[in-house]
Amino acid sequence: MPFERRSRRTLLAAVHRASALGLFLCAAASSAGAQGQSRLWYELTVGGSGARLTCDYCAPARDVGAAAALAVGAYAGDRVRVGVELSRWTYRDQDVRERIKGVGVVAHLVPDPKRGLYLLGGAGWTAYRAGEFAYDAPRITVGLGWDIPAFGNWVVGNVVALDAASFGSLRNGGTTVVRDVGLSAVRASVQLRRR
Amino acid sequence: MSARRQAWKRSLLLAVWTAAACESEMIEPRFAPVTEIGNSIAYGLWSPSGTDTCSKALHDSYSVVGPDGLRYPTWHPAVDPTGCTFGHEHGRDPHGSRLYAEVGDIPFGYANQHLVESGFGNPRNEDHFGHKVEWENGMLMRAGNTGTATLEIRCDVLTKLHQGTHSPDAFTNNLHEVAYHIRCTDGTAFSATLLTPIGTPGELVANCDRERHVTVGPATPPNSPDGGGKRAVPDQSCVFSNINRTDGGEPRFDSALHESWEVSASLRAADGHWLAAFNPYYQVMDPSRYHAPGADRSMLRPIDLCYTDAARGKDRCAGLPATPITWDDERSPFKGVRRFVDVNGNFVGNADGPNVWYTDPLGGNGQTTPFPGSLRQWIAKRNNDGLGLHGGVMGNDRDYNARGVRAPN
Repeated sequence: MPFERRSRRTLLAAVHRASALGLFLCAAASSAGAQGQSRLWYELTVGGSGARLTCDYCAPARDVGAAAALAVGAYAGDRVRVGVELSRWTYRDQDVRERIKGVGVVAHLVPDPKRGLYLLGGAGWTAYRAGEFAYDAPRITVGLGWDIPAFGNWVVGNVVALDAASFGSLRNGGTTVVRDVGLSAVRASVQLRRR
Repeated sequence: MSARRQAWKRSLLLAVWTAAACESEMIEPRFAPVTEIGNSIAYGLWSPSGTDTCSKALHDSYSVVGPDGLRYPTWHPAVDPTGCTFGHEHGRDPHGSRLYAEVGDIPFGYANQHLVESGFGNPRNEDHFGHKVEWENGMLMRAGNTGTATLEIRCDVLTKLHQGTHSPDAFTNNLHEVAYHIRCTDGTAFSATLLTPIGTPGELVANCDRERHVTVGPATPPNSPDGGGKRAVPDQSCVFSNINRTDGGEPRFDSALHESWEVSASLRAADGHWLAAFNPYYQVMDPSRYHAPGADRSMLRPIDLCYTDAARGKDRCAGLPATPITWDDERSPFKGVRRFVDVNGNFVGNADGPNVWYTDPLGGNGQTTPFPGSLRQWIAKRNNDGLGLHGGVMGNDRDYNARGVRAPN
């Protein structure tokens, strides 16, 4: 299907852009680390997420579905780490499998390095798929998390994040079905990070 | 002070004018009142017979003047408030539909009336009993292949099909009058009235084997066009296989007699492109006849099966008197009162407008100005491509049996 190819190309382009930006940030952070103590980190989060699709006649509410995210990045100092994140969400209702895929750059700001709290922000791209319907839009992410040292260089913790996408249209093939669609998802996850 | 008053007046006038404009947009589908000029062919067809206790005059009082100025019969209760009975019913009382305020009483026979005038060449007039109304408010619709998971669209649907299941008419005749009104929260909306060809003229499709087309005879009118969809009608072999079961099981009258008229209707512009399309399936569980080649008028009566060894006292025949009753007896369980409608797909392709189109009685040759024999249609200025809007079922939790109702119904 031409539409699927186009949609994949859009997502692929978004992945490339996000990766490039992430690599740039990582490189910048590593460069900073060459002068300081920064190094790479990677993280896996799993949990649940409730998503809302909003438009004039969208079915807004969904129960909590499984969510997971994988992030890799670098430290840009004691208080900041940046990286690239891939996220997934899925939920099944009425024999319909709904999926959200996200890709973006994230930054963790640690207000007090002696404490586990950090603030999370990011920007990227979201793709929603359900049956023959598709939605792609830019998104922002905000949230906060809490790190607890586990063992060695590993930390565990919790993170709550809100992904909010807007300025997209719901499409069926090449046809726009609804304009001005928003998609938000609240993720509550546990994380495992190598610092 | 005077200037201020003038400004207030102007503001008030503007507000009223704006409200009126909005109101006129909202009620545009409603036929404008016209002067009555006479009676339609469909008016006055019914007279009491058998056990019916209402008078013809009372029956004829349930009427409406159509957009052409002719008086048409319309929906009435099976039992008049005075207590007398008409012996037949027309389905669900349309006054409860949210669309009733907009579309009013449905004139029965409006499309039939104008067929000859449109140049079709032959008349197609249908009896009074077969006009059946069904409606539902706020139906939760499905979109695309995701059901209601992604989109939450609700529609009000009010429809009427002439679906006679007491005579052999539908064995051969595929032109049937349908009125279909739909208004949805996504903006999908149209009001269509037409004679729609359902399946192939001159033949029916066996209800237990949709691949088996049974040629019955010439259609009326003889130039009836082919239509999409089909008329799945019980035929003798289907009925017998469900009643005289080889596995020794109980007879299954609902399976034997289930009748489905699967409409594939559209309104089309003069250049052939479609403006609105819909494909509801109108279903009847208890017709009072089935197709039987070689029988008188090619049909037999299910009630007679209740007095065979295979079905006596079983399934739908339970509780019947031991002495055979006739097909038009009120006590018969086969009188066409158990019906439902699968709403199915609803498509609009009229983004460039206008709202009002005039088509021939078959729904074609749509133009923006009236022409001889044309019917007024209303279609929202919208394309709902990609939405795949389709609906659920109306009426499967009720039947329309009432005191006095009997076949023919």
